[in-house]
Amino acid sequence: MSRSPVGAAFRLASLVMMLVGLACGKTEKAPTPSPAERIIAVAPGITETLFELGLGERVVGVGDYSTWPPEAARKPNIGGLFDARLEVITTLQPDLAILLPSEEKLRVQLERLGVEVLTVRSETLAEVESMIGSIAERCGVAERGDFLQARWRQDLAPNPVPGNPRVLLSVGRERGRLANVLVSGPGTYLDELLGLLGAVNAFADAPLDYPQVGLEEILQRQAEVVIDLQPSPGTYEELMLDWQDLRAQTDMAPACPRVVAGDHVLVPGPRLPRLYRELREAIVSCGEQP
Amino acid sequence: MRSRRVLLILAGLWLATLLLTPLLGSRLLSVGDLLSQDPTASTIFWSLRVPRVLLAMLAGGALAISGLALQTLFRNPLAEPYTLGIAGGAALGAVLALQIEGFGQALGFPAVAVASFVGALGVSAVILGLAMSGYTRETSTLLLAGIAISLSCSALVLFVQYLADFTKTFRMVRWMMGGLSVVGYGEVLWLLPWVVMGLVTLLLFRWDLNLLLTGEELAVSRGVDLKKLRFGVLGVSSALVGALVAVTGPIGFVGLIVPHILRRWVGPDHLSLIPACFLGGGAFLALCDLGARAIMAPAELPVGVLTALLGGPFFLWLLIAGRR
Amino acid sequence: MNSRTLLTAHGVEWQAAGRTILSRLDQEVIAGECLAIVGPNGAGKTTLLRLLVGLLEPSSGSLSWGETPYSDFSRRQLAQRIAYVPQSHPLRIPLTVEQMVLLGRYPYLSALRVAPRESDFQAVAKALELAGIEALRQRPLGELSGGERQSVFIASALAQEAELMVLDEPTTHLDPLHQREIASLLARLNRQAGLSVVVATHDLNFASLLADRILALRNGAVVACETPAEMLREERLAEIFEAPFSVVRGGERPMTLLEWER
Repeated sequence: MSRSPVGAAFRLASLVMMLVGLACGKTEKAPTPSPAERIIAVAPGITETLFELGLGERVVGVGDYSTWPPEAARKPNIGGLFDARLEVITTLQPDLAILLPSEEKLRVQLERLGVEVLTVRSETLAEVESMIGSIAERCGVAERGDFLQARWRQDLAPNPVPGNPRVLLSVGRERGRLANVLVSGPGTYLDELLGLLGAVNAFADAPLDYPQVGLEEILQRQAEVVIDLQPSPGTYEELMLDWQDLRAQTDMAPACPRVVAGDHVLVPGPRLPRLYRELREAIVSCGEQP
Repeated sequence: MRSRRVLLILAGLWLATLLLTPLLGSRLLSVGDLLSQDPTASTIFWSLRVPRVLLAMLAGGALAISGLALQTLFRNPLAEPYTLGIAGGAALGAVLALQIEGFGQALGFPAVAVASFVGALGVSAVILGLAMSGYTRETSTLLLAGIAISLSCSALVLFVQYLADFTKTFRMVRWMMGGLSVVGYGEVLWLLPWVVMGLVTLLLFRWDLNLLLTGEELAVSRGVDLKKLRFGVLGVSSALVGALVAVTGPIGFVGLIVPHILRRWVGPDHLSLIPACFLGGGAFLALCDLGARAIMAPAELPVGVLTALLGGPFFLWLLIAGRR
Repeated sequence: MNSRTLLTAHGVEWQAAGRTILSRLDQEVIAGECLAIVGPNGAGKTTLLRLLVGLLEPSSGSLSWGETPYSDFSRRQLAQRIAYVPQSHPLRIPLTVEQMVLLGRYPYLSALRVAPRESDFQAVAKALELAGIEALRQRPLGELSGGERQSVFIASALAQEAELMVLDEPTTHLDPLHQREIASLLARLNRQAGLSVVVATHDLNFASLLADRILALRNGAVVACETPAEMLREERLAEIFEAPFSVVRGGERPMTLLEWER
C-alpha cells in the first residue's frame, strides 16, 4: 500500500515531463541571428571589451568580477564564472551571450534556454585581439573594432628595455609571506608581454602555464626583477615588505622587487596595453637603480 | 502499523515538496503567474525550477537508498556511496576532463559528466572485482579497500588540480561542491531509469538485507547468497550514484543522514525503509536546495555545500542523542 | 527411537592454508537423536558444525542428507532441512523478537511477494510457543537478557522448520540459571517435539544431561563417539582434555568435576 502514492506521483511526473519536453522542443529551434540588443557576459575581459566597443548600453548583465568600467559594475549580476544565476538570466531576457570556452556548462544551458552564444578565446595576445574583432563584427560595430585592433597593435608594438633583464612575474601568492607563489610560465599573455619588452621570463622553461614554485627555486633563478601582479590596489607597501625581509636574510634574494597593482593586471582584455606600459616602467626603474 | 503511517506522512511531504518548491525561489511565482502566459515566469517555472526540483528529488532519493543499502551490506553506519570511493572516482574523472578540456560533448552530455560517470564505474568495478575475488572474504576488508581507493582518488585529484591553471582549478573546486542547476529535462530523464532500476533491485533484496542485520554467518546459513547480494547492492548503488554524480557533482551526507533518521522512525524492515528513504531523501534534498537558493538569493549556494554544512553537526548530534 | 539416518558424513576432511583442521571423519546423525560434540579449544568443533550445516565445503569426502549429496541442494533447500544457531551474533540487532523469528522463514520467502504467506506467520507463532517466548514477541532484541536472546535465536531457527538443528556453544556467556533454561528448552525440543539436535559445547554436564551420544574431538580427529555413560569416565576425559576430572555421580548421565591444583 505504501508504494501506490509513489507510483502515482511518478506517472504524474513523467506525464508533466513529456508535455514540457514537447513544449521546449518547439521553442529551441531559432537559428536566425539575434539583433544582439541584450547582451550578457561573465568574464570581465569580455565585459570590458563590450564597453570599449561602445556597446555598454546593450549589456544587460555581467559576472561577479566585472568591476571596470564603473558602469559595468552597476549592471545586474548574473553570477560567478561557474555558477550562473539562471533565473536572473531568464528574467533579463538576453538575446546574446558571449562566453569563454571554459564556460561549457553555461553555454549548453543557455542554448537550451534559446539564447544565442558566441564563444571567444582570450588566453594569448593574439586571441584577445581577435576576440575584439569577432565581438565587434557580431554586434555590428566592425569599424569600431577595426579601430580598436589597430590601436591595440600600436600600443603593443615591441619596445625593448636595455639589457635583456631576467624577470620573474608572480601572479598570486600569500600575503605576509613568500609562500604558494604562482608565477607565469611560458606561452601566457604575460610571457608574451615580457617578450615584447625584450625581457627574459625567469620561468620560461616551466612545464605549466602558471606553476606554483618554492622559495628555493625563486632564489636559484637569480631574477634581476621580480614583479608581483596584484589585483587589489593599495597592497604595494605590504607586498614589497615581504621581498625586503627576504633581502635582509640572503644575498641571493632578487635585487629589485616591484609591485604592479590594480584590477586590470590579471584581466586579459582591452586594458592589457596599460599593464604593458606599467611592466615596462617597473623594469626600467630597476635598470636605473645603482 | 506505525511504519505505514510514517510512509504515508513521507509520501505527503514528498508530494507537497514537489508541488510547492518550484513556486519558491529568488522570485516567488504564484499559480496566477503561471496561468498569465508570462513567458519569463513560465520559462523560470517549467525550464528551470520544475526540472531542478525533480532532479533534486531523484538524486536525494537515490543517494538515500544507496546509503541505506550500503550501510546494511557493510554493517557499518558510516558506509555511504562517498566513503566507498564511488564519488572519488567520479571526481577524478571530472577533474581529468576539466584539465584536458576541449573534447566537447559525448552523447549529448558534457564531457565532464561522461568522464565522471566513467570514473565512478571504474572505481566500482575495482571494488566489485575485489568483492568477487577470494581476497576479501570479510566485508569489513571491502569497506577498508573502498576507503583506500577513495583516498587514492582524492590524492590524484589534488595532483591534477596542482597541474591545472587557476581558472581550471576553480572550476574543479566548484564541481566538487555539487549543484542541481539544470535547464530542461535531459538530466531528469537520464537519471529516472537508473533510479527505478535501483529501487526495484534493492526492494527485491529486502529479505536478504533484513537477514544480514542478524549477521553474515546466520544469513548465509539460511540461504543468502552473499556474493550475489554484494554484487547486486554494490553494482546497483554504484551505477546509480555514478549516474547522478555525473549530472549533479558530489552531494555528501544525504546518503548518511537520511537513512539514520528514517531507521529510527520507520524501523529496520527494508520493505518500508527503502521507499521511506527514497521519499525522505528526495524531499530532504529538494528542501535543502530550496534553502540553498534562498539563503543567498539571487546568488545560489551550491547544494552540496549546504548539505555538508548541515550534515556534520547533525550527524554528531544524532550520535550523541543515540547514546542516551 | 527409529534409526533413520538423517545425515551422513563420509571421509570428510577440511584443510585451510595447507593445514589439516579436520581429518577424515565418518559420522552419522540419526533422526531424533541429540549428538553433543566436545573437545578442547581448537579441536575443530566449529569447523565440523560449519561443514555439517554446509557453510564449508569439505576439502575431500562427502556429506549427504538422507541419500542425497549436499551438492544437489541449493542453499535454501538445505536451510529448510538444517537450521544453524552460530556461536556469536552481532552485538546490536535492531529487530524485534517477532521480526527476528520471522527471518527464520527466509528459506521459504519469495522476493516477489510483498508480504510473507499465512503459513510463515503460523510457523513463527509455533516457534515462539515452542521456545516459550510468546510474551516477548514485540520486544526489541536489544532490551533482552542474554538467556532470552539465546531463546530468540533458537526460536528463529525453529521457524526454519528444519528437521535438524545445529547449535554452536549455546550456553557460553550465560549465567547458571539461563544455562539451565536453554538446556531444558533443548531437551524439550529434542524429546517432545522430536527435533534432532547437534550441539557443540564445553559444558560436559550439559552434554551429559542432553545428549544421546557424545562425539569427542581432539586435534581435528575423532577420539570417540559414545553414550554419556561410556564417554564420561576419568581416563577418557584425561585423554581428551589432558586435565584431571572426577566423576562425582555415575549412572546413565554422569556428572563430572574438573580437579583444581591447589
